[in-house]
Amino acid sequence: MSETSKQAYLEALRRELASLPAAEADKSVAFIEEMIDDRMEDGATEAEAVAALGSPAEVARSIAAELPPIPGAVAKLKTGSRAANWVLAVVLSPLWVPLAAAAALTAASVYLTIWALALSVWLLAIGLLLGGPLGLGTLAYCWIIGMPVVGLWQLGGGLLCFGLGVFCLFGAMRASAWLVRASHRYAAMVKSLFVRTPKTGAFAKEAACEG
Amino acid sequence: MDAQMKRGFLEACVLASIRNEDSYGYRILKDVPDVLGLTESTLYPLLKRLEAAGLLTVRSVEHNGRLRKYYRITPEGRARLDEFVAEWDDVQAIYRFIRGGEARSDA
Repeated sequence: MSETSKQAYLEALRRELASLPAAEADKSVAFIEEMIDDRMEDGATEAEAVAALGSPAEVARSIAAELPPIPGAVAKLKTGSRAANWVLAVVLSPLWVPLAAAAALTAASVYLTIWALALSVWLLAIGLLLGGPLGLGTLAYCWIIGMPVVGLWQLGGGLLCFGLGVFCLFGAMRASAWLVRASHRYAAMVKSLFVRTPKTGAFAKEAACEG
Repeated sequence: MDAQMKRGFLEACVLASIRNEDSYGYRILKDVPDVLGLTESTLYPLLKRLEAAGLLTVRSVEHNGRLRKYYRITPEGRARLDEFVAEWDDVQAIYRFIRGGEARSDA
């Protein structure tokens, strides 16, 4: 490797990381710079310290490899500049705008479907529970108009509905609790496509299993 | 070494290297066993991941007229490290099983 100065190396790395968000690229470069400085403090010459790192392209690749799928894919486009990426993004917009819209709508409709199901169970429970007071009312009415037997029969029906309603209510509560958890997981899954979630390799998977 | 396994070991080793006192990138790099092949470009995302998981915190300290980042383990990080060590018995059982399979195929 020809003698590369620290400054030249860092500039090359910054160019390789150009497709990353600027703040992210700056932090990566600052980290590598600190490593070079510490190596030099440890007795290495500037050239040795730089040579100890991989090539800027290798370092950039392994940093991009740790990004979540979608920003990672953007970073790997390797156009070398954010501007070029924006141009690409605009030129290809007839392709990705409908795709992104379809993805967003699919995500939203999955949510809606899940919650519509929960709502229907709740409505069923409420409807059945209303059977109780309704049965009582019908009994009173039938008593007044002089048909107590029919009234009792109505009350029985009402109480049956009420019983089923209580049963449904428990079901609805359980289902909602489950749905809240399921939609959290779903949201986390959608989010993980764009943002790196705080999970840490095999190490964290074990913790997740225990939790 | 299997990539997934290496990743788990690396995370544990980085936490172990800051268990007793705060440390900085270059020292962590030197402290972690060479066999894991830790480099600057793998250490950086690793530290970010551990920070995001709340297992360590970062602060900048002035050192020789420049800033150096120091990493400090959190109680969660310590707990994770203890769990990792506690799993050693299981790992040994698996290792014995794998070695046993080797002996069987030799016979």
